[in-house]
Amino acid sequence: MKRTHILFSILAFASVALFSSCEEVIDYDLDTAESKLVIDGLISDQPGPYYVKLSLTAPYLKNEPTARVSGALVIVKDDLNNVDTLKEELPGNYKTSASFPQGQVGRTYSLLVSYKGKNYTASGKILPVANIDSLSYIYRKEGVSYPEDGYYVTMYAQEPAGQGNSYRFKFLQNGYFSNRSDRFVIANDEFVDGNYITFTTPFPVNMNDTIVLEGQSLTPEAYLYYMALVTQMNPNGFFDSPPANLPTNISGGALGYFNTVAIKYRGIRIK
Amino acid sequence: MKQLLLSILFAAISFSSLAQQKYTISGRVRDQKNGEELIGVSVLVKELNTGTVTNGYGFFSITLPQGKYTVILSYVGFENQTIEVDLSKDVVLKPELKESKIELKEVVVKSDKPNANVESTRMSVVQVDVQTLKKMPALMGEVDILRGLQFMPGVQTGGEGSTGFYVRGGNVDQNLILLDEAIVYNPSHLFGFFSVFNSDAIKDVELYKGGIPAQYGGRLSSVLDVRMKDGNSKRFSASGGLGVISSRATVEGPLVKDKGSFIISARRTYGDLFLKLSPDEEVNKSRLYFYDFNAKLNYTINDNNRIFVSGYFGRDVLGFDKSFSQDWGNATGTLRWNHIFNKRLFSNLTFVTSRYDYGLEAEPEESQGFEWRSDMADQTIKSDFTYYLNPKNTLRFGAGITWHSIFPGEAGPNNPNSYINKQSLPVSNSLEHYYYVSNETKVNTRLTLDYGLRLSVFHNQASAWVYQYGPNNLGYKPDLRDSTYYGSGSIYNTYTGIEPRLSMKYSLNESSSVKASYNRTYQYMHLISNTNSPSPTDIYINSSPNVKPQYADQVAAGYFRNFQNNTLELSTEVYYKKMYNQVDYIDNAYLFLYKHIESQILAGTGTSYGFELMAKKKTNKIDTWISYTLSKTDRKIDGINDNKAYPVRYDHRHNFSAVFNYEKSKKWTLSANFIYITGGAFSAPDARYEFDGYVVPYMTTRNNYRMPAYHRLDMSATLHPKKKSETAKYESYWVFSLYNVYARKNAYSIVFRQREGYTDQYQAVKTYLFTFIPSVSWNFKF
Repeated sequence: MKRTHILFSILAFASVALFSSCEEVIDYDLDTAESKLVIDGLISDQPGPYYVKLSLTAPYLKNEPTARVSGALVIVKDDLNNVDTLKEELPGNYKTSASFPQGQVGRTYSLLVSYKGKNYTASGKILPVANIDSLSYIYRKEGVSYPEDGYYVTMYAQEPAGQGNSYRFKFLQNGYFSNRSDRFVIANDEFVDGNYITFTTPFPVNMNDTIVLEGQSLTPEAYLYYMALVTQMNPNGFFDSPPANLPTNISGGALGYFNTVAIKYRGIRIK
Repeated sequence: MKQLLLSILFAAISFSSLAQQKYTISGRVRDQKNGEELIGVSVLVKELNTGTVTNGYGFFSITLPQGKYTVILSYVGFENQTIEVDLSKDVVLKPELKESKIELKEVVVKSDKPNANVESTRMSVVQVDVQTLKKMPALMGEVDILRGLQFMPGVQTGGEGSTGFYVRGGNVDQNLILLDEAIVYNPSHLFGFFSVFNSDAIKDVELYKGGIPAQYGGRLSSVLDVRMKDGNSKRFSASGGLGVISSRATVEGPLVKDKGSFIISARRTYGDLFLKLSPDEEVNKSRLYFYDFNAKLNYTINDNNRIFVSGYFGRDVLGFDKSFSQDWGNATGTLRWNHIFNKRLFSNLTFVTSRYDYGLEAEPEESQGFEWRSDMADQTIKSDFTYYLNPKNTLRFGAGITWHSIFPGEAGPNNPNSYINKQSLPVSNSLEHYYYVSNETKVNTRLTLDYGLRLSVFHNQASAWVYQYGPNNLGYKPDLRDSTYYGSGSIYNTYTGIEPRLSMKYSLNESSSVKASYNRTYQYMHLISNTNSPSPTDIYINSSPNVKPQYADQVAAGYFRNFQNNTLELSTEVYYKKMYNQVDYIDNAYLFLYKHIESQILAGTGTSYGFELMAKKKTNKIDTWISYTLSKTDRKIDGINDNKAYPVRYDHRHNFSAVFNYEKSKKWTLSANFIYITGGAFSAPDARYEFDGYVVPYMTTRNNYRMPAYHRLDMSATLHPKKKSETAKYESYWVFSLYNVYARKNAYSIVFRQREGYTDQYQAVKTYLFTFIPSVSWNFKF
């Protein structure tokens, strides 16, 4: 969807600068919905500990962080009956104990959160993720696919045959992860099933930067969740869908997602 | 079924005074200047105070007892013509009306029957006068008939600058948009900023909002009947214009004098020519333009046979450097044969073809390069008859058949190095046929009825896979239960619609009447769009075993009154409309080239009701009207919004507009229009939460908030430089327009987001498209 915005800006220019969409911050009164529990949990095939974060919704335009939820009972279980009660390390941040085994591809994990007399449950399976064969980089001038001059990193991988694989890519630039919307990338194999694929970062990096590309396997449900999240990052655009709530996998009325992923990394230094 | 219908119909017709010898006066009424046939000319028989109006081909027929009669032809903007007829045998008239000269200080509208508003059985009809429209202020100087409609009651706009329109709570796909009887699927250029109708090629525009006549069908809410000009049959002439973003040219003339004529009209934007001048390589390699091409030929074989061929072709092309391009367009073709069987039976045999296609291409030189194409096409054969039974009864009947084919799309690699796999969705074929009959009967001098029935039948045609879904569909994750394959050519699903239509008028006196109408309409196509604006990628799907046809019932009633010698017209109407099987997409629906698209939508009911008022004042100097609509539209669909009713996005409670045209002198005409619309509904977050470092909005209900009110004032001045001489053929005029005079920043959308660079601050941000836009266009004619 990003690209259509670029197109629209061109459209803007083309019509002799008469089309020029502008933005302005306005006052708008929003109601305050009753606050709801939000669960953000992740089990991966990388060494633990794993975290489950609990918080509450907040009034949208109120300039304050969302409240953390302390004192909840948080239990994670795998399909071999390894059960772990998570400890609250920081307010709202619950951590598995060292005895909980490392996540494994093919295993199914479930989550139970008990808070203020209500139970919330979710489960998910860790699906395999393709190997990232290699990374390369090249200097590009600013252009349609390249927002600025700089080094763009390309990834090479074999997409495994069989429809239904979904991925999320995360980028660590000099060890730092940015949640900017232009660095949020998810993909599925609908049009590339079983092919040897390449993927180029949608942003440039600088000389001497280290870039680590993290590929995660997503369940089909998690892919839908992230796809909805991407849509939310820019609602009400010209060609965008009107906003809708994200589809959670948590039952019991909480928001958020309990994610189970396999991860492969590969890094490169620009020199 | 049909037998029964016909017998009911004929039973209702009174065969009075059969004994007396009767003869028919018939003919075609034309414009003296260019030979264009005039639609809707009032034909009055003075002695009997009865009459008729000319049809879409300028034809009329009236059957009367033997005698001497005075026939008066009157038409707005033309001088009345009186013809004495000695009716002792059938008489064919070929009257040509003369345009009234505004310079003559007479009231233009001065005839015995200028009160069509009050007299006609028709209600809920909006007429757009192209000549008036040309003087009105236009966005970037582009005269646009669809935008002109938005100043009429009962019509809601699709947003700032948009030519999309919503009629009495119906969605955009529920408008039957006909260009010379061919369906236009996507009536917009440049994402809705301009319509595909080149005003230079258009003769007549009518919008039916209710009381839809039985000959129209296939769409739920309205009929927009656009007819192209036939071309000047008297002499060659050319016209055209230069505007800020496009230029137009039209040539027309006789093929054989008074026997046939042609018109060719073209329009193209030239924004892309400016792009080439840009020093920025990215910009100067871009492409952006649209063009339109209209052509029409007609030939009169003899008094009883006439042939018309017309076509439209238009295209939008948008390309950004080499890496991305999009193009889309409509093509329509119409072949018509008017045949007059006898003085009382007029017929029309029509072949229509219509096609819309869309294409997209990305990165033709890269390994992720791909292209996408989709199209939809219709072929129609239909036959329509009008039988002028007697002065009291006019029968209309006909039948037609349409083959629809929708190819949702194919995406695949566009170069040998691309790693994209080819994916294609199957073509969806269907067949729609219909039969109708209606009768307009003058029960007495006060009461006129127009009643009819339409029967429509729809078939899905294989080959096709039919899927069965359970209730738990999610975005991109259907609850698939079963699938069945139907082999080539077979009909695997049929729907039938019985559509009664009724309009009535009761005259209270010479200058006022009350009218009422009821219609049921069926529609076997559904637009699936979850974007905020009409987009070329919007998807149409056929009704199918999973998607029931939509249908609607509408009742309307109105009071019509003329004042001040018919120079002031007042129309008020109320309507109530219930729409069934209205589709909306589920939350987070996945619609892109998706074979389970039917699992992403749910159906329910829609309700709309409202009050509409229009007051129109027309004298030789002033042409002005105000329009007001009070309405409410919502939907209720099980599985969406917790099964509760929610307003549609185009639910604007109040909609007021005023249009003012003043001919100050022969040289200057001044125009202004003003519009005020209360905000439509949109979804906004009642709360936010944090997930994985991202801020996520949370909504309690769909379309739970309102946009701020929209209002705008536009002004224009038309300059007619003095002609070289009174008889000079060459004339030109300039139109200077100001759009949004007081530069209001009308909200196009409102988004809620984290303030950039701050993690603990949140904002409501309004996007607006236009403020103040001046433009100028120059137009010529010779």
